[in-house]
Amino acid sequence: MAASELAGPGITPGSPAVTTNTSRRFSRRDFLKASSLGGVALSLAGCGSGSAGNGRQLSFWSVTPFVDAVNDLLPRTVSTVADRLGIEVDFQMIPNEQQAARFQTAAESGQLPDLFMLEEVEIPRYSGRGLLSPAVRDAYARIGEEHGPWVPSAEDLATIGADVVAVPFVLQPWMAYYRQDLFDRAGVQVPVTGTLDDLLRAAQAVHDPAGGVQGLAVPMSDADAPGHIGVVNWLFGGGWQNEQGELTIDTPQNLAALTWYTDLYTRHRVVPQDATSYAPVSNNTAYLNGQAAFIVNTGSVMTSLRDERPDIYETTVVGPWPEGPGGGPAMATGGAAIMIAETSENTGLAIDFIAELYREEHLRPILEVWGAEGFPVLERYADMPLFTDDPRLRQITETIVPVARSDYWPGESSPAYSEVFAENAGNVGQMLTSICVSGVPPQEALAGLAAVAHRASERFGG
Amino acid sequence: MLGWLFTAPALVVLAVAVGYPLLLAIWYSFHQKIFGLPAEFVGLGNFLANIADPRFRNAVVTTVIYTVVAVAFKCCIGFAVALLLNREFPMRGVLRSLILLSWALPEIAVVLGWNWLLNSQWGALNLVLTRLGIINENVYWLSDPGLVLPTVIAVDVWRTFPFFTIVILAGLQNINKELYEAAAVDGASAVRRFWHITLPQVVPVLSVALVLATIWNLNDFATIWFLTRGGPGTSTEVLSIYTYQVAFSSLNDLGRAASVSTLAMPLLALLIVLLVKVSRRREAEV
Repeated sequence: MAASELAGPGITPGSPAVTTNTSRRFSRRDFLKASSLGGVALSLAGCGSGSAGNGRQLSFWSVTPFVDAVNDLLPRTVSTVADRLGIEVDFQMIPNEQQAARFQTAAESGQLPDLFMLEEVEIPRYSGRGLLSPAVRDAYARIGEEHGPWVPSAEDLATIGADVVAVPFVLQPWMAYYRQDLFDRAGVQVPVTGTLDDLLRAAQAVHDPAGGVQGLAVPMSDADAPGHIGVVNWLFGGGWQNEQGELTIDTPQNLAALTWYTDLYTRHRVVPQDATSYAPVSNNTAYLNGQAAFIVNTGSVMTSLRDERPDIYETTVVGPWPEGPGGGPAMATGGAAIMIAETSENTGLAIDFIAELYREEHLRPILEVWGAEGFPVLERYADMPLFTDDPRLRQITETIVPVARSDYWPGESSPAYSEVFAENAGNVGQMLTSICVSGVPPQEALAGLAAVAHRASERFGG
Repeated sequence: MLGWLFTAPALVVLAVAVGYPLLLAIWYSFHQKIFGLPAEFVGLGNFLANIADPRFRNAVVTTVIYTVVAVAFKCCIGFAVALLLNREFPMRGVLRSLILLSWALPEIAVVLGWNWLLNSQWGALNLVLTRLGIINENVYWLSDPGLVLPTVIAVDVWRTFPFFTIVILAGLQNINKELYEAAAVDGASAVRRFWHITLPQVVPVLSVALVLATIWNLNDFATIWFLTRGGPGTSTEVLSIYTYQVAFSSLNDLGRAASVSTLAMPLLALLIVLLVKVSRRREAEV
């Protein structure tokens, strides 16, 4: 066939319309095939396991601490430990507001990381669902042997009943912060060593919203509930559970505590109006901005004050919640601990990683930057100069630690308790906002929380 | 056959990323699925529990108010701005680009910016209003139950009215200028020209925009979440926020959360059918 016939009518061979390119062109079918192969390849690449099972890799998630210096140091420390062990560690710090969705979704899909660190009250939720590996006991025992003994309250952090479910990493006592300069101007001595009513009178004396100062910047939301309504319950002789670990919500003592606490907002109005929307960092920010005379938080605020607001740091004193009709003074202590996922295929490596992480060369610098928010879980660090020489930290040790109680006091940690009172569970916040925003009577709101607790007890025992 | 082959990759992605989760969600909605525990069949239990839950009913009402009011304002403001931008004036092109900015910027960045502006203690809005003497003390834009929903709606309207502006402007520019000239010759006022010429010509594109905006507002999550997380209390808790809270907070029940979405499906399907009908009518007219 002549070239002219191949080219078609009106086309002259050799003319620009006739191509003599003999290379294979990328056709539409080729494009479809390539797209399909690409799609399959992308899908396979995305189907990765959260828990790497190829021997020398670990995945490790941690909640994001509230101290910037720790957020900076912790990833570097993890990397150093990984290098030391000759492994790869995929380390992620999960922001507080994403914690529930990320961890629960991962758990639901069987993709929990090999290691994860959570705050104390969250831990039993995972234990109660069989999501934690018993291999963590070996890590706990090994740390105790090599670097121990453990601080007694750290043992509470790690156990549910007699079972070790986690390796404690840091203790986080709560504390009440007072702006001494503001209270001095009002002629009030702080920290308040009298009663809750004395605290209320002190707050009323300094409350000056027009001048930008709130008397008591306490949340009326889920934020920081263990250090607020949880402790106030104790001061009225109540508590969320009894010594036997039974959830005891709807009691006269708890009702009295709840009424006193929410009256701060609804009746006495010494609490900022936006306290019903407080996030975990809201009262931190209010205090750091000089807009709160009193807050309760962990030592994260102390560390931030030292670094960012030395003027307020100098004029801050700390103490526990003062005495109430049912007892006190008192304060809560929480913490954070590391767990190994039941789905992990690298439990041996995970144990080695934890053991290496707890070596003094790694842990001491972390404690030094964590400062007031991160108290040691091992006795050997209790006499670090940071905790003995710093006057603020010494104040914490002298005035707060002696009256500090586990979040679960007078009972012990349990899945049912965690189910109701984990900060991300939203139940306490719903109770408080229903009173403060919707005008629901405290008794009715408390009954609502009791119903939630009843469901949790049926499901998880306790 | 070739058409199916071309669409096959997209269909596969749709089936995996949309179809499977949709079917799984419907399946979940008939089960109690607490995270970490096996699913238990509960039949219609989740749906009945939702209907009986005052918090769910509150979320429905809040969603309807949020959607209707926000879409109405967006439509009116978008229309007004489109009419303005349809005129000839200096730097019209620059103004068109600036108007689009709020819609073009990433949603989360914009909403977080508004969150800071509206902060009752140190937000710039209270500072400016105080300096201007308009207010004497800080306004709790995002924590006053009476103010928070209008505030959230205002932020949404500010962010998304440009969509209406662009759509309506495109419709306005397709109107034959001779119609206006003829009407002017006949002595029609501006209002009559708008009512009898502009509006009928723009209705097809406006209908599409209204249906789309309604669907988007019904599903809105990020704007409200990053402003208020549905608070204070449940003042701004729309269905999407309620679903999230049920799934990851209070009840931890994925089944109950999925049933909320399943309940909303018929309404959304109706809106999509409406959208398709309006679009097809528009294509036929063209």
